[in-house]
Amino acid sequence: MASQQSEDYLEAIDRLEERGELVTTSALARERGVSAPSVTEMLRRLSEQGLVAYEQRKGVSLTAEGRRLAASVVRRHRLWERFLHDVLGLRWDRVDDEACKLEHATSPEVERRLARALGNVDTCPHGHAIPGAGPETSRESTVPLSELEPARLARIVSVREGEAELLRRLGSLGIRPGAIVRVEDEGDPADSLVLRVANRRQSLERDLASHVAAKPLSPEEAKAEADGPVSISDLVPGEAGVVRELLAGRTFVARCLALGFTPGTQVRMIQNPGHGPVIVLVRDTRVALGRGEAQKIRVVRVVRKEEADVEAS
Amino acid sequence: MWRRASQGVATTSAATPQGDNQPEKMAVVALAGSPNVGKSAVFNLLTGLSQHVGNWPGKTVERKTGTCRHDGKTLEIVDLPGTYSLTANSVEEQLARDYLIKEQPDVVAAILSAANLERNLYLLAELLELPSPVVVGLNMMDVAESQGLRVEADVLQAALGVPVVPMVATRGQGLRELLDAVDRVVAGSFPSRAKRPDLGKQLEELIGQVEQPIGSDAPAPYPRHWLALKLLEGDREVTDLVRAHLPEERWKEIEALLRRHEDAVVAIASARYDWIERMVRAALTRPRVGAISLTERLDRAATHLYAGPAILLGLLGLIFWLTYRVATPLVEVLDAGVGAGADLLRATLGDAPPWLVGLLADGILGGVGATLALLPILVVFFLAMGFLEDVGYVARAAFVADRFMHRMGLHGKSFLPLFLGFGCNVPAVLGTRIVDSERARLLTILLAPLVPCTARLAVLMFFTGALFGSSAPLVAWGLVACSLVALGLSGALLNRLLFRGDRPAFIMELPLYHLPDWRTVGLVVWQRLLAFVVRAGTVILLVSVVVWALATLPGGEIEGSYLAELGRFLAPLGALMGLDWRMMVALLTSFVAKENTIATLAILTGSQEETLAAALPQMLSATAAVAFLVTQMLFVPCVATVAAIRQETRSWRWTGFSLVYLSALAFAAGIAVYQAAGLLRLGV
Repeated sequence: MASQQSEDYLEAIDRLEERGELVTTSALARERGVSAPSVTEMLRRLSEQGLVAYEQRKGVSLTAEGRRLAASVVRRHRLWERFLHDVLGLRWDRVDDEACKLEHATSPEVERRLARALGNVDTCPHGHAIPGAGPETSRESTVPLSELEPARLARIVSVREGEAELLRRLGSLGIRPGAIVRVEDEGDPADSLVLRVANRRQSLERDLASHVAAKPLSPEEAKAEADGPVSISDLVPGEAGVVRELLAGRTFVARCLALGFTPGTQVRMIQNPGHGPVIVLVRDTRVALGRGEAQKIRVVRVVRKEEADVEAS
Repeated sequence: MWRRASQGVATTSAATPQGDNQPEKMAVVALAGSPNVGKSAVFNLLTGLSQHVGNWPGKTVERKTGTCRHDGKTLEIVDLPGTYSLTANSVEEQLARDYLIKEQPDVVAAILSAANLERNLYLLAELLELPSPVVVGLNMMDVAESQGLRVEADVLQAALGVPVVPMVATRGQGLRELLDAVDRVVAGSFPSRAKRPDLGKQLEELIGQVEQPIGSDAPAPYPRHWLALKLLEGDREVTDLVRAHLPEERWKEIEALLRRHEDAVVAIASARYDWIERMVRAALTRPRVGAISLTERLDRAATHLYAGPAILLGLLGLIFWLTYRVATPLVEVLDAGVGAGADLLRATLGDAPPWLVGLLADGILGGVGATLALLPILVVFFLAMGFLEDVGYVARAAFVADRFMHRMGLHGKSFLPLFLGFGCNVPAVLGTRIVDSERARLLTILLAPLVPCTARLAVLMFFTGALFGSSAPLVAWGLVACSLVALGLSGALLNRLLFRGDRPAFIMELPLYHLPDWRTVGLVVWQRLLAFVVRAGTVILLVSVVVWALATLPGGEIEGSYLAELGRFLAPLGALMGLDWRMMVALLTSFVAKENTIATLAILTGSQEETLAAALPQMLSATAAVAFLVTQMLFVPCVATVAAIRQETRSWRWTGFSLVYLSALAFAAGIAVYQAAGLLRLGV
């Protein structure tokens, strides 16, 4: 079992690698908030334990064993972040610090229980993949928000954790994993961007935007997004959509809401013969809707993941 | 025993301890839950035969109460109507929440389905806003498991701060534990306190803003926070209540706030679901995607474009077949018994005055016989309906039916009450409450009497059995089809004439299929049967006696009786249908109860029912019989149904309209059949 300090260093190295930065002594010192000499000392000890390799030019890299340990601690960290955020309701700018304390005191059994309790989660609240929980998001397909081409639609994949101020700012703009953004134009001051997020124009400093990873939408996804909401009745069986708005009729809207058709909820079409009523799945419940009713629930098509991936590659 | 002392001192008491000062007081437990969560099974298991079925005051919604013994104490259990939320969108929702707020039961036992946890917690989120402490019965754990969902009750309990008891009510599991939890909450010994669902800072601030103008003037038992919440949700009833209660200028203030936040209803529902997602996060493990559930496989057929209607018709056909195979032989046995009883009575009362023998043997026993003859048929129908309802098929029937129902301006949901009409038109009329739109409800009520009810079907079967021999089922089926065609045409016509435009919302949960709970089905059959016997025992008996009297007085001879006079008066109308005055009288007495047609004819022909069956072919030609049956099927419903129509429409005008329309339709159809057959030289 690696010491708490070693775990922190392995985690920091992994984090820098994930961001695609060169892992140098000074970068680590900055990340850990300690002096360069203590980093050097620690790296020497980790190297002796066979956890890291250090080369003058290439910087620090993890050995196979080091990578395994780093993945383990990162996994615990992100599971805890999820738990703190989703279950205890801590704000996303607070969970990183707390998880740093908890991750070291987490036995394998608690880790297992935690993962089970959280269900099928594969990322932390900031959008970073939880090791061993699902496919890694390949960094190649994402770009920093600051480098996104204007007018191109993209989905936020992750934001850099660790800086509470940054997270609060992004959160207030609605920039969270899963949100759809478009760069409207280069901002008036050259160091800022004008973005459209959730139908609002927002301005964001370019250096902050560089801490946000986004993935441009595939043509299908972009089309679904650009088409805007369609009626549920336009979905074909097997197709999914995310509820955007409910049209008309107080009683009808209230009934829809109680049954779980709230904005942001994913629904899947089960049966739609093209006329007459349809059956959709919403929140584990099969709901029959008359055609007229189905036309009043507007959704944005969800492009199936495999299609989107094929498109992107 | 209340276990308050042994459970230790609660640090944060969940409820004010009761029962200490008034040990006599029975704790009241309200059962709340959405439809299709097995709430009635829980209620039936808890209360058994102690239950009392009545109506909510001034409403036609069933109110079920009962008592239950647990650890030496008696609890009163109130079964609230099944609802998805507590906004006054339907009578059920309004009744449930009025009860919770005004009566404040000691404990609310929320029965949730583990198989639809998220959606079920929505109602809980609303229940937690109200003053009564809540205990959660997490039912259908077995169904959840079969869906591959794993729900951990203790984890949910920790998250919610209320007792959560896993249950499989259909197997009787978890009921004791539920009552234990109720005890602990009543005694104030459950250690944690439920938190009101956190709707987020923004909404809570907004609610606070709305609360302000209400100030300390919240109308009596209503919590202020709840009123503010409901105002923002656009609840009409609460809006009217608060508006009437506050001074003009303060209401204006609220109104301005509400106008600025018109979409708060969506934000509140979303916030509730966000809260729910946080709550279930740790407690619910989702299945691997790709597994195809039993429900999905069954629904591929049951809701299929072509297979669906075929299955629906097949099931209806099966119910008819069962009626003929199982019920009809029983009816014959009962008939023979009644006949023997009448003979016995005549023999024993040899010396009594003839009018008394007539009254007892013909009037009273004839009526009793007519009632008894229907029971086996009712049992089969109620059992079949109860079964289909309990396994979850009825919702599919509504889905399949929506395709053709909407042509009549109705949606699939109207199919349910109309479907119930096959059992009895009275529950059909009362059951129209599930239809959301007022107009569609009215239309459904007007159409309900055209559904051949069990009593009509019994008459139909009696006549077809007596007159058409082996082709009886075919003729009966044809006449039922004819009724349904008349229903369809009437629907299209009335919709066009009366309520052009408005269509009710068709949005309905399709519950997971599950094995039936025979106890629940059995109790429903028993209750419906009991209600029928009570009604039949009074109304039918009374009518039998009155008809006997009318048919006997003044001279003692039927031919010279008052009834015969009325029948002869109507004879010209009857002649157009090939019917003599006796048939007209039989038709008229069917107004009081459909099954009286047979009883009346039996009396008028001076025969018992089995001898009547033999006498009928001499009285009626096949064509006249069909004309009579067509008229009988479409004629005004029994008086109980008419009373229900009046009660539901709250209007004598609509009730009168229904009577006139149905009489006109019935006689027109009867005359058309007889005259057309005559022109085509069919029949004898």
